[in-house]
Amino acid sequence: MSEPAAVQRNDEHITLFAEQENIHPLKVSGTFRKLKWFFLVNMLAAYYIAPFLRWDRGPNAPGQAILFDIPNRRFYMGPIEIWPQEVYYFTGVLMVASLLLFLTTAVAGRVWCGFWCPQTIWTDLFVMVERWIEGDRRKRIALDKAPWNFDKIRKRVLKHSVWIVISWWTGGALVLYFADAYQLVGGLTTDVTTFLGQIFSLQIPTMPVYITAWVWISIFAGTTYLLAGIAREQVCIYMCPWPRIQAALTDPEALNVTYRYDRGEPRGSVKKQQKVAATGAATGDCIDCNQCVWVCPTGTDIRLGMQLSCINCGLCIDACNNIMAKVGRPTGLIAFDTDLNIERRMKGDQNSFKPVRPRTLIYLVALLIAIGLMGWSLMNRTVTGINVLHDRNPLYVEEGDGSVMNGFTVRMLNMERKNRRFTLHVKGPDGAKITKVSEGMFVFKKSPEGLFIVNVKPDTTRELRVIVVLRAGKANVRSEPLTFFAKDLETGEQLSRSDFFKGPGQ
Amino acid sequence: MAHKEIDHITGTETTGHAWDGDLKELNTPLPKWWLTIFWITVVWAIGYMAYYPSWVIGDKNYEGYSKWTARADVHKALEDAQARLAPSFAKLQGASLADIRNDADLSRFATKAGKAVFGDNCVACNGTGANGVFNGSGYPSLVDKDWLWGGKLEDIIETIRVGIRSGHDDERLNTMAAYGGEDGQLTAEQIRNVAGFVLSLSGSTLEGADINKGKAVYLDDGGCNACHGDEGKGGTADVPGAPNLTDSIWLFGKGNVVSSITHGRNAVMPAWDKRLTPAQIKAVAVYVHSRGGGQ
Repeated sequence: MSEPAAVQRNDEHITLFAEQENIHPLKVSGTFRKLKWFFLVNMLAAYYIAPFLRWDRGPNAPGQAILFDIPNRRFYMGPIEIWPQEVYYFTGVLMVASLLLFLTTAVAGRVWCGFWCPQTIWTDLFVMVERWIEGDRRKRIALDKAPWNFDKIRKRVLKHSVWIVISWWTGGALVLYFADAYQLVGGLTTDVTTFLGQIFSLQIPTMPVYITAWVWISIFAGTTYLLAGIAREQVCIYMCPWPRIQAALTDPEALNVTYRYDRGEPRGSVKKQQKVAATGAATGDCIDCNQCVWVCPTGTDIRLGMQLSCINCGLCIDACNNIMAKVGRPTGLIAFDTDLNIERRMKGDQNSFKPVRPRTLIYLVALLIAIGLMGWSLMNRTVTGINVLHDRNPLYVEEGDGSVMNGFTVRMLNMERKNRRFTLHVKGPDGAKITKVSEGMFVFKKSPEGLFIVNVKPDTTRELRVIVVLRAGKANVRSEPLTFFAKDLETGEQLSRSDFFKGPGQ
Repeated sequence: MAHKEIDHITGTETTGHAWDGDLKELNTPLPKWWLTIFWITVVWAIGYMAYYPSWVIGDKNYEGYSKWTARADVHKALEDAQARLAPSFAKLQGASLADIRNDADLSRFATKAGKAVFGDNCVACNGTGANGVFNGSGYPSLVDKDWLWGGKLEDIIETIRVGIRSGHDDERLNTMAAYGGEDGQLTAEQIRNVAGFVLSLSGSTLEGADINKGKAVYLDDGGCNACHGDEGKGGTADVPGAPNLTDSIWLFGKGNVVSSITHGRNAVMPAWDKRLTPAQIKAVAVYVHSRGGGQ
């Protein structure tokens, strides 16, 4: 056995922590840039406008189309109203969302990251502001290096101010989903005018009325400013779990932004390539202009292959296509493609792309099932309900006269916006009858037919104590099915719930 | 040795540490802000330790700048809960029984509050379901319709307030004397006969008992009818608290009738007026009443 080599140390130069290099994406135009603008404009518009849309639900109900009413435990989305016990709908929404994510990733890689992720959208917006104030890539790099003169301070103050306004508006829009938007905007405006009035009349400002909203706006404004303005690609590379997860969801057939090295290499500037070509050696199409790196919002060099920092936005494709057109070479040197295709082409085989394969089919089927189940359950959602809970202790009570009593807790549910009245009766062992329906000491009245009438207010549940007695002589039961019926006095709609009647019988 | 060593395959810098000859570690530096956040958390932790109780010194601990304790939090939560419930209890205290019956909200509050009071004070004897401990244990079921001292809400409130044979000035009091033993009023044979008679009232039999002789003992020698009535139907307004002997409910067990007569029965329920507030007593009575047996 040979001696292990002595550990060599060159700790002197090693940097374990790297300074963040500011990335200044170059402006680019093209198909993917247009797509990104399209999604940015539409998604931001939807986000900012949605809280102001109204939806008429009649009296006693909020008129906001999308409202997460946390104090009252109600979530409204257009015609859909969700109660806390239906929170599984959110599970369904999350399942549909994640399956959609899986499917798009299996077909075309991390297009979520490139086009739809809030981090991408807001960063794009912030970079747009930056470019508008400080100029394009070259000017911004120069400004970074420039000394702190008046011009730099002016530009920086302006840029951060606009960022803060956008951030504030982002947080402001978010809180509007949790309260009546028009009322809250009015309240916040009053808070501001009160504050300004106090400042200008040299008084100490009082606590704003909508302090909770202000705190949340500040939190979301702060995170927006921090993540989209300062952290940017650091979020994608170091904080976000998605780049790691995507590895498990994609396969060699998935389309990704790919540098076609079979065509591009060996790379070199046009002049250098002319010299190389003169010697008779092969040259590639890549002219090593670095445009693909400069336009990249995460500073990735796609020519190194697929990597964690690539968000699949396709801006490098736009940049490269523009250059290829200028130098008169075919476009598509960088394109949505697969490494498999590169290998095929290098072997002289045909390109092939298989969007339909077991993985995508499974995701698609699962997605359709999830959407179908969600739709089905929403369409068949009941707005009234009856729940029955048998007393666990005691299971039954033997009365002195030989009859048997069972106690139940019955919960009536009325999700509608109107008062509803029900009569209660049971079907079970012969002779079983409801003898008392009460809420504490309050005993409900009976209808002329001798059935207890229960009133349930709009948008509430009501818990009742129901006593069922099986009269003497019939009481030799052990456990027999017992069904509770609640019949709406106006509509005649009948709800039922099965339980058991317990007795001392053998 | 201040030269950079680049790994050829990955193009990444190595740390230069080599194991087994050629195994080298790649150096992928973390961003500086990551380090900054680490130091911020360290500073935060120090502040946290200063603000909250943290270090144990011997059998004491550093109390922290805030003097925070979980116990104080619980006390505060209890006080808050009591303060929150105070108006409802005040309303309950002032409410007449008719008010409670007709006010669904007040009735609901009384039931929930009563359940809590019952759970804290009553379940040890009367069971978690208010159905006694087991049939014949001597701890009565409060769920059935059989009441010795009355099943109306007013009666239940009074029973809870003064107790049964509790020593309270207004206690519910009667006595089931011991009829057997050396100096007993009845002989063992008489006791067996009268037990057989009593059981026959609800259709049961007792081996070796002469029911006719037993009936004579019930009406004459024993004088059982003085409390239980000529027909064995139990107590009246004048002589309250004596159980009905004609139904199928046996507080001390159907098999223990002979023993009950021989040794007597004088079970005790404590008075609660010192321990519970009038509003709490009202609440727990409402809860018991609502379990199904209330009249």
